[in-house]
Order: sequence, then structure tokens, then C-alpha cells
Amino acid sequence: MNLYYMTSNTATKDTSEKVNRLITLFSKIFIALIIFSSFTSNIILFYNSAKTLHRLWPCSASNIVSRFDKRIECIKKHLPGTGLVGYVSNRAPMEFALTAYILSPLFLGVKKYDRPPHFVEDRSKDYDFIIENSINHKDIIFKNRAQYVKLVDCANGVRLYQNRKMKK
Amino acid sequence: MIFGLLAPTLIAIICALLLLSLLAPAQAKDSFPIMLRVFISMGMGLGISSCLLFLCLVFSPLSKNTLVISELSLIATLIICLYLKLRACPGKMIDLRAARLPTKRRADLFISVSFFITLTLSLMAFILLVGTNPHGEWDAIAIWNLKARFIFRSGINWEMVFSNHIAHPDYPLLIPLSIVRLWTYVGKETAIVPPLISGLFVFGTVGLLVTGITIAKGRRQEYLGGMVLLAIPFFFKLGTFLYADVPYAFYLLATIILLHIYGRPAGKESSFLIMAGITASLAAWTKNEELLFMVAIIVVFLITRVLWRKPVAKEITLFMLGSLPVTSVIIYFKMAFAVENDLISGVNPGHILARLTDLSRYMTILDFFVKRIIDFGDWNILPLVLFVYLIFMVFFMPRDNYTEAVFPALTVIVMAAGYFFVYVAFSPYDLLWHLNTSLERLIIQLTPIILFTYFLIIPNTSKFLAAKK
Repeated sequence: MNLYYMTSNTATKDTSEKVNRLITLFSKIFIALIIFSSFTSNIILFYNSAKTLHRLWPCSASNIVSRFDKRIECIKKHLPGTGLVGYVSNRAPMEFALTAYILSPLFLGVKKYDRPPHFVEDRSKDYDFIIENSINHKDIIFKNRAQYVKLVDCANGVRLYQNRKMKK
Repeated sequence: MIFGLLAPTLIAIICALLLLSLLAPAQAKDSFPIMLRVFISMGMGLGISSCLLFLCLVFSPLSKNTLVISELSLIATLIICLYLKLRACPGKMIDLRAARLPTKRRADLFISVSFFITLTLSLMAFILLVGTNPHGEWDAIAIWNLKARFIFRSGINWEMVFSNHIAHPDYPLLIPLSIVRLWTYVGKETAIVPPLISGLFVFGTVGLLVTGITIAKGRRQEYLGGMVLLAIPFFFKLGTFLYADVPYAFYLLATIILLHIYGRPAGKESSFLIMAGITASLAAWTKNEELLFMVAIIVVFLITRVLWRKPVAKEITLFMLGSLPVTSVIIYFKMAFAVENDLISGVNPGHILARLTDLSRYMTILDFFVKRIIDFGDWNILPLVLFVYLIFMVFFMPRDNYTEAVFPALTVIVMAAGYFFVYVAFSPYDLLWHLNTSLERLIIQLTPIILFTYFLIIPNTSKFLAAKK
């Protein structure tokens, strides 16, 4: 039997009123808690977003893509517009995605990049160019490939190697 | 620039609005009000226009002229069809007015104001977040926006986007092509476009939930539903940073609402099944694995109709008929371009059997699920509040509430079972890693439907407050 639809035929008026009062109270608490948690959640979200406000100006130089674009700026003009180049890195996997995003429609050749280890060069292929993206400018992680010569060193860990065969 | 972006966005929405008006029963102003049509059109318009752009790309190189001509032709065709429909039924004008809603009480006003304050805060947070990070996060940069850039920058070689050197080359193209479409209209790549699309889906989903609950339950309840959804930071961030899970959630919710309208005594119009078929197929055009949703809907149709001893063939046929145009595009896309899916490539019956009989996989998934559901998405106290209120109200709920909620609840259960099966039988990855990177997002996909179901089940709180007086 549904208490909500309880009428005077099935229960005393007092009991019905008590039940209704209890439901009303519970409903009010329910609504208040939803409003409270929604407010707090959105205020926290807004506060956290506002903390990044200083990065809005100038917008073009502040976001992660623009910052990474600057990092690899010096190799961009040496690369072809399309085709496939190798990529080797010991940095975060996200930087593979960023490199591919910035250089598109140039493909980056990798074995795997989404989980450690982040050493991603696909050695089964012979590329015209290989991009090295290492943690710092001293850390040279690309080696053992005699046919490649260093073309550009951006002095921030980013280097571009070119295949000798192609250079000829 | 702003006009250049708004005009094509409006064209897409108007196109979907015309289609919905063409399909909607002539006297459906109460069961299918204009606000619901507008919110559905926000996603449907983007979906249809991306399908159209895909077909344009297949037959000719990417060009603004081709795009404009094809879209205007579609709008002209829809207007002619709508005119013919109106002429055929002169007495049944399609009423575009909103359904008349009950007068607001003070308490309703308080909840409405609270909702709009929350919405404003969300909107400001959205602007700040996309302002500092307009390209989105991992999925947006590694998949969706990357594909959009490839297609836009490659010109006639756009098919290169299906190369194995891009993550998930088999994923459908609704989001990338929606971005490419707006870039084509503007004539250049602009970072505003991905946030514009993410905003349409995030706030469109909130609007859809609010209007869906309004139709089902009336005032007060709907704004509570919207506030709960806006209080889930993970939903908001996923949507803002253009993860496809929120657009997908949008299409799931639209389908469930349309099927709910169909299921109501006043809405027994086959056209709602066709509309639901369209939105469900657009979900499949958004993400790869989401063909599961189509199967889930058909399974739920079969279960509910067998239980209630009603014929099912007609309903499934109409639903499939609605999904046919977009499904045909997806099938062509899969056959002509897409490479194998990473979950099913290399899988054979032996692998599946071995995984299915490995009990440790079941335990890992259940253990992970229980742990994550507790601290999922920084929900704060909301799950507890919703759960306690539901338990308390179980004794006071009319039976109709349960009946109305059967279809969406079963859909969620079948979908969850489907995801579970995929994890157990198909996942070729390290299971913990796979769960860690995907489970929360799968829950977010189902969250709007879960909330819709929840607010269908609980009685309308305004009735209690009114009863006191």
C-alpha cells in the first residue's frame, strides 16, 4: 500500500499528517543538500579555474600547446609538411601527442607512447628525419644509428636528426 | 569571426530542428515542447552536419562552397517537406510554443534561482578553463582535434587520417568533422571552435536533462537534476576538455528521453522511435565502442515487451529505420576507410574463452569498480544524499514511477553488463591500466541517464511541499 496516497479511509488523520510532515522535512533537507553541494562544487570549480586567470593574457602564449610549440619551434622549418618522421623521447607521453598535434599533417612514427617506457622510437623503420625530445639539453638519448646526422639542436633537449641517405 | 562561427552553428541546429518538426506528431506541444527540440537539435544538428561533410569529402575535396550548397539543399528539402506536411494536415499546425507549465511557487522560484546561479558559475568556470586550455586535454589533442587538423590541413589527402600512425584511426568522425566544418566556414583554423563544440554538448546535456525531467515530472524536479549534473566536476571537466564521453552521453540521454516520451500514454507516436533511432545512431557515430548502445536498446525493447506481452517487431523496426541513414554512413566509413578496432583486432574465440574462464579478471574489475565508485569524480556528498533519499522515499512512491523508470534503468544495466563483458572478454591491455583509464569515463557516459532515471523514480518533491499547505 502506498503511504503517499494514504487517505482517511486507510489510516487516521493524525498518522497521515505525521507521515506527510516527515516526508516534507526529508524533501526539504534533500533539496537543501543538493543546492548546497551543487553550490560548493561549482564555487570550488570556479575558484580553481580562476587561479589560472593570469594565464589568459596573452592567451596565445599561455596554453600547453602554445608553450610546447615554442619548445619545438626551431625544428619545424626543417621538417617536411607531410610524410613520416621518427620520434624518440624519455619525456611524458603527452609530449608525443603534442608534437604530433603541432606538426600535423606530418606523422610521427612510434612503437608505443601511451604507457611507460616512453622510449618510443620505432627501430624497425628507416626514417628521413628523427626528432629527439629528451628531458634536458645534456641528456642525449638517441644513439646507435650511424646513418643519422644531427641537423638542429634547440638546446632544450629537442634535436632533429637527418638520414644521410636523404641528405645526399 | 563570431558571426562566421555562429551562422554555421545555427544552420546545423535549424536543420535538426526542421527534421524534428517534420517527424514530430502534429499535436505534440506538451509531450515534445520546443525547448526539448532545441536541446536535442544542438547535438543532432552537429551530428547530421558532420555526416553530410563526411559524404561531401568522399565525393569531392573539402571546400566551403560544396559544404554551403549541400547544407542549404538539405534545409530547403526539409522546408519543402515540412510545408507539404502542413498542407496535408491544415488543421494540425505544428505548435512551436513551449508546453504550458504550472505556475511557479516561491519554493520553485528559490530552486530556479539556485539553478541559474549554479549554471552561471559553471559557465564562468567553463570560459576560464577553455580560455587557458582551448585545445583540450589528452583525448582532444591525441585524437579528436588532431584528426580535425589532419583533415583540414591535408586537403585532398584527408584520407591519411586513417593511417595507423594516428591513435584510434578507426574511431568515427562526428567530433573531428564538426570542428573541420566550422573551420571550413571560417576559412582558417581557430582555437575557439573545439571549446564551442564542447560547450554545446556540456550545457546541451544539462538542458536536455532539465527539459527531459520537466516533461516526465514537472517543475522543481528538473532544476534539481540539472544541479546534480553540474555538481559533478568530472563530468564538467571531461566535457570542457572535449572528451567524446560527454557528446556520447548527450546522445544516450536524448535517445532515452525520446523513448520515454514514446512510452507514455500520450506519446504513442511511432515518430518518436524514429527520432530515437537517429540520436542513437549519432551516438555510434561519436565513439567506436558505442555501437553497444544500439544493441542495448534493442535488448531492452525485447525484455520489456516480452515481460508486458506486447508486440516488439514494429518498435524495433521503426527504431532501426530511424538509425538507418547514419548507420549506413558508419557502415560505409568502416568498410571503406577504418582499420581494425584495437579491442577486437587479433582476438579469436580461444582468447575470449580463456579470458572468460579467468576468475581473477572478474575479481579485478569488481574490486576496481567498488573502490572507484566510492571516490568517483569528486562527487562530494551527492551520491550519499541521492541514495539516502531514494531509500527513504521507497515506501512513499507511486507504482507508476517504477514502471516509467523500467526502460532507462534496464538500459543502464544492460550497458553496464556490456562494458563488463568487454573488459572481461576483449580487453587486450593490462586490465588495471585499462580500467584506470576508462572506467570513470564509462560511468560518466551513463550518468545523465542514471540521473534521469533517478528523478523519474522519486516522487515530485513539490507535491509534498504543496500537500503541507
